[in-house]
Amino acid sequence: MDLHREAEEHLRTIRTLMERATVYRAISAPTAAIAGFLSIGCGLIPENRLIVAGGWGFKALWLTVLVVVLAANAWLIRRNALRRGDPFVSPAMRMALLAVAPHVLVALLATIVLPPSVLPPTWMLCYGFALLATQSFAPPIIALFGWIFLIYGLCNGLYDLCGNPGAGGFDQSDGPALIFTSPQHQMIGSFGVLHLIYAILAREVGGQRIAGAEGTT
Amino acid sequence: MFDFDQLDRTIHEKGRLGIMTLLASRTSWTYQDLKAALKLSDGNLATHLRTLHDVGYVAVTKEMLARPQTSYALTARGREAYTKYIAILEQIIKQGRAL
Repeated sequence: MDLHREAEEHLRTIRTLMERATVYRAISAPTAAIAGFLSIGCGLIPENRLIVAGGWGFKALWLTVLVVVLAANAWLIRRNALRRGDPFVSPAMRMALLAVAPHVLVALLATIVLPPSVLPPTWMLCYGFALLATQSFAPPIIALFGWIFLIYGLCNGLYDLCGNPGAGGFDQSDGPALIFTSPQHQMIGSFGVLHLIYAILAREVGGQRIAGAEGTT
Repeated sequence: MFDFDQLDRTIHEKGRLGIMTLLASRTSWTYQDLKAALKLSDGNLATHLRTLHDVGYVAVTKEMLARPQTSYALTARGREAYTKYIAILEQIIKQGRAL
């Protein structure tokens, strides 16, 4: 091989390795497990207990879950960064935050203006879009789950639009709530069960990963 | 004409180039992470790391955490050599395209 070709080959190797080294997994297996268990636990709270202040009982519950999960994720990322001697806010983390910010803002706005009955599919769609926004520098499993959340959110949204009797749980508390069709059950099915599946898969894949699990830069 | 002898032969070996590239991307790497990323055998990886350590490009840190852990990082000299090596590779490619 002549030196020119060899140089090209070596630069390709460098590029590939650099790309692999900057994979950023914004959600680690432990964070997903915490999110999954919390979502299942909170999803089991009967809806009639959350019908307070125009649906804000439901919103406050899930916003609290979000804050707890984000705090746990930040703690895990910081712990791993300290262990590696890296800064907590790495360039990859900044890139991930910028990528997900628009979707988070839309979700927050939706939380303020929309009724609880349509919030779970909206949150699933925003979450799916946010995960997909990081796919260029995230492990493939993140993109896969982005698509799953997107499709699951669309299915739930369409089902609600087509007159899901469970979606009216907040507005008509005496209406029949079908399993996985009421807002609380939709939260269990998506943010609960899907996160637990992700946690298991991320742990499995983690065994063959190239670097640390969360906040890897 | 470009002097090809400027090319650092220690780095100009695929296994060692991979190690230097990964070490340049982050503050430090554990032995296990390097092994998984480069898919090198223990013997190969250890030999390349020793070579890079002997020329002063790589620093080794041994820690006793839950279990013994060895981490590797680029030294200032290693980083300088790596940067110079990349610049030379670019020059070679530019020269090849100009021909």
